[in-house]
Amino acid sequence: MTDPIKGKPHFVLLLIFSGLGLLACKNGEGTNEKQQNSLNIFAASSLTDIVSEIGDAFEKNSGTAVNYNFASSGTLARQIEQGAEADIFISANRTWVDYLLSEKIIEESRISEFARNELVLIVPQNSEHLGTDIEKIDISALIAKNRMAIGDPEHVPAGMYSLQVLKSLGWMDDLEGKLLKTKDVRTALMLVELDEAGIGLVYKTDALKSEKVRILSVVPSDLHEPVEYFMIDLTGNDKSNRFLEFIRAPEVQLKLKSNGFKF
Amino acid sequence: MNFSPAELEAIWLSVKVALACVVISLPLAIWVGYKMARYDFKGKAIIESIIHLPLVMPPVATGYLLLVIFGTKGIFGSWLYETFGLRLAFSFYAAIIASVVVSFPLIVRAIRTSMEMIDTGLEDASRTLGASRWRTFIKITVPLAMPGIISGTILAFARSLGEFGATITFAGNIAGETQTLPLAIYAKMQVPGQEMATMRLVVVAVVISFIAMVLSEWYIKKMKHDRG
Repeated sequence: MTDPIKGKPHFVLLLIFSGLGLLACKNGEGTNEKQQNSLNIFAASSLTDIVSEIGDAFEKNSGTAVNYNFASSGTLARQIEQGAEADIFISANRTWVDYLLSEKIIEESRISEFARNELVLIVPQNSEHLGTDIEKIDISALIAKNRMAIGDPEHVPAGMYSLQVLKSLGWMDDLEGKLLKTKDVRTALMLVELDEAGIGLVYKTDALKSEKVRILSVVPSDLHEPVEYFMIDLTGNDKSNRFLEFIRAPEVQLKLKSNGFKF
Repeated sequence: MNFSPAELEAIWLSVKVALACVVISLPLAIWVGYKMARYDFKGKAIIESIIHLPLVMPPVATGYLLLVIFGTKGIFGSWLYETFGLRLAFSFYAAIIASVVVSFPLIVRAIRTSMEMIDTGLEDASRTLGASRWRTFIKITVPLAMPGIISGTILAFARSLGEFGATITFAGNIAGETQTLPLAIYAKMQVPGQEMATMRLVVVAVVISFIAMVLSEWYIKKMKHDRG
């Protein structure tokens, strides 16, 4: 059977132009325009709730729309390095800030401290294990029928801090093959909420947000390097500056404190 | 290209999951395909729709439903956990279940279509000559449906190798247990500086898919040639 479309160039051209026509249709304002007129914040996933709250308040206050992208700090650093248009980047550790510095994407002068955090060991709300000091924990007994959820140490700061903690405690041998490494700290939280992992290592602020988990132990801060969030102004433009000023306001700082963040 | 042990592990795991998926789906799909092709029964339309759902649903949604049903706190999963201490979600078996669920509609469709195209007169002739229903099925129906069975198998294998959404939601991204090739690529992609490692895995994915397509095309040509 011969090609039925052969010899009908009009038909083919019509198809192509219809396709192009559809592509040219704008979605309301057009996505790129929207991004350019609003403030784009890339922030660590542990900041999902608090940054959304601050961003919403900023929107009301200044009239500038805010777009959010929450993921692990490593993932966000990669996206920025590959050209994603972010105005503000809040990383949960210095590693990914240094990465962007070494790639000459940011300058030291644009970096400021945002807040600090603590790590906690969590268990599902209905777990039989009661709160205790971390030195008293018998890890081989605890991990016997469970798995431990942590962020993936390769790109999630919470996972990197967690690995430091586990090594300091000498728990690595017992945890061999029992670690569930997640794509960001909130996924580790979810695994404990769903009781797919009997234990998890997350930030204190994450644990406080969830009613489905309980804190088993607070991790002493000398077991890991300080958990510091860094905020980077990527564009240095007007809306970024206003946002940075907004964050310094006493009400915002108070809100951070009441959510469990430290300074 | 040098592959790290972790990368080889991901490739091998993908193959294992895909093979398990095919081995489990095939007998079931032959049976279901046959029933769909030869019989009408109450609720057939509903069952057809349920089987085909994973074909049109976003895989992440399929994975989430699997979690809701089979997760440790799930509708059915909680019973499994309380009775047998069995945890299905976030395990090697979860990866297989996810693959089976998403590729099942593909095999069933291919086999069913193949069976519908068989001249039922041949099956009737076999019966009138004294063959039992089972013998007719094995000696007449299945061989004649072979093109559909084989192409369905290849489709399911390929679909399983590429399965991402349902797997990452229901089975998670556990290296060595559930981190199949697509998940390994996704994980590597998140880490700045791992572009070479990501590329290596992507190349493997392309090569495997290419081989599957070539085999599939060669087989179709062969079938056409044999049929004359």
